[in-house]
Amino acid sequence: MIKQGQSLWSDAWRRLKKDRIAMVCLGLVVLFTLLAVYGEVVYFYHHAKDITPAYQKINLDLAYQAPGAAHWMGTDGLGRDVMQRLVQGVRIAYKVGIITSLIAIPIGVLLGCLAGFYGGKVDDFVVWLYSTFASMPGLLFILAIAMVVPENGLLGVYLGIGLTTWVGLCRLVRGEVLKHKEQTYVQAAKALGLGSGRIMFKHILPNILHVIIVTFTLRFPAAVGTEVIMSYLGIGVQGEPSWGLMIDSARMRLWQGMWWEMTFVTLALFLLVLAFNLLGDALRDALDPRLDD
Amino acid sequence: MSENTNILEVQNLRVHFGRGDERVKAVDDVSFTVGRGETVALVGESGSGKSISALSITKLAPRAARYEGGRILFNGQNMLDLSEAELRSVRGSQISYIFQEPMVSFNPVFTIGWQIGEAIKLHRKGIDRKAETKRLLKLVHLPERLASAYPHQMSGGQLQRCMIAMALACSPELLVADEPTTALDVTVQREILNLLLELSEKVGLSILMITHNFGIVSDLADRVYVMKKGRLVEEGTTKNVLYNPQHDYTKQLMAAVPRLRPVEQNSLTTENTENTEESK
Repeated sequence: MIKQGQSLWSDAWRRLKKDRIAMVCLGLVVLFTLLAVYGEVVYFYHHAKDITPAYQKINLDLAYQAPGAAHWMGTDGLGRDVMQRLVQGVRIAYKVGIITSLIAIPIGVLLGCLAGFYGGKVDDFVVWLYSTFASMPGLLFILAIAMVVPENGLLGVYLGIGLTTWVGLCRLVRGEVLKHKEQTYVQAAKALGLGSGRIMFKHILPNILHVIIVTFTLRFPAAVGTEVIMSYLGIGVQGEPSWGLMIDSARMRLWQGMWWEMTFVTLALFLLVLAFNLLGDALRDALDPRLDD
Repeated sequence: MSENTNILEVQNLRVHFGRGDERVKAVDDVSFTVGRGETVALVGESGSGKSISALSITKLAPRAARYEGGRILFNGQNMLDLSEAELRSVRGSQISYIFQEPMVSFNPVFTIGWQIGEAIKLHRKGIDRKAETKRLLKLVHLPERLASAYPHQMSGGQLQRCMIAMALACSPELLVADEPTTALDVTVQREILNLLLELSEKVGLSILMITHNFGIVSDLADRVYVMKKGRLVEEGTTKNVLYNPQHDYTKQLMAAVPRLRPVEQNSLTTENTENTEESK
């Protein structure tokens, strides 16, 4: 009997629901997302009213407070609440993750589709392009871009990470399209008189969507990690509480016995990366129609 | 069938692959015609160039293929002269294809209804797609509810019916059926062939049937062309070729086919119907 109204997505959701670890990770991701939205609201509220938000207020009387009732995650060396800064850090991490994905994924998908579908000279060019990009040490390249961008800060981070991380996805998409364009259903679509663009994006792309979604969930935490490293190196975020900056400043106070800032920030980073990675793995299994039970 | 109304005339077609010493003459000086409302079979073994000939009609042969000569006149228009855009407007709307393996000829992530709708959307703008899809499914004797089914939920025979529905979506004049029954089991083959026969009469379709099976030829075709290694070796009306084959190769091909309908007794057909699975 044929089940009605069953689609790729509801199938994937049904399979994902059975995976307990994936559901825990999904919960974590939702939690982080809510925190990011909350952080953005707080940021905008203070920005619009031009007041210094609590997480930026320096109050040396409150400095070096261990986690307690007033400050659940303690305060840092300048008396700022670590938890509030951590939430702001989620906001920046999410911005980096999403905006760099918005740069990298379209480039990778578009070039990969074109290369795989048309082959020949187009393919040669795309392969040459991503080989060139891949041959440069990633972090150095990101640093170079970030330094060239006039306005030092987040824009440099976005462009630096966005423009360098499309290579892996491009390669994957190219391979998948190569595989799919030889299938009979593509031949059948051609025989119906469909144009190349429609075949590529309307017929082949949905078949390789799981590759793209999984890539997103894997590259999101990677981008966050890169931002942390860049901020730590001093060419990323300036003046805002990114996790990288927090780790950097916490590192110097560790010897004073101030363990909480370092602990909570690394814990948050660890959980975010772990949740996205595990969710990505589960999604890959759930979205592949050939793995249907 | 009147003589001067050929819908398709292929004249001295040459399709080659590779160059120099590696040149393969997949189709070498082949000519055939399909009359209006006529069913013509192109018969030959694997690699005889029959599929390439069929695909060449709308220039769908693999990219490596080169059209070295000849003309393909469809309604008097040489298809080899058309631009890609002009060819696209012919494909699906005037010339449709059915492929060998229905199980892989559909996009696995879309419903059957959506895929039939694609053809309608492309060539017949402003038509109620849902109603038209239902009409087409009815035409090939499938229940309407299958429109919301996915390819993997259907049997090979059902899918081949859907394929035919899709091919007929824009009421083409010529249907090219590339081994439409090869991947199906025997009783389903019979159903599909009957359906094709019925439709060709009902909507006045011309059919170019590509096959290696003389059993199909005898049931369906008005005329037969036999191909071997890219060349035509024999042609004629089905009757003439079947009862009086001239070429050794034709005789071999005929001998290679297990008969669907034994001449004297009907014992073979009953044997075949026993171990067939009902469609899902």
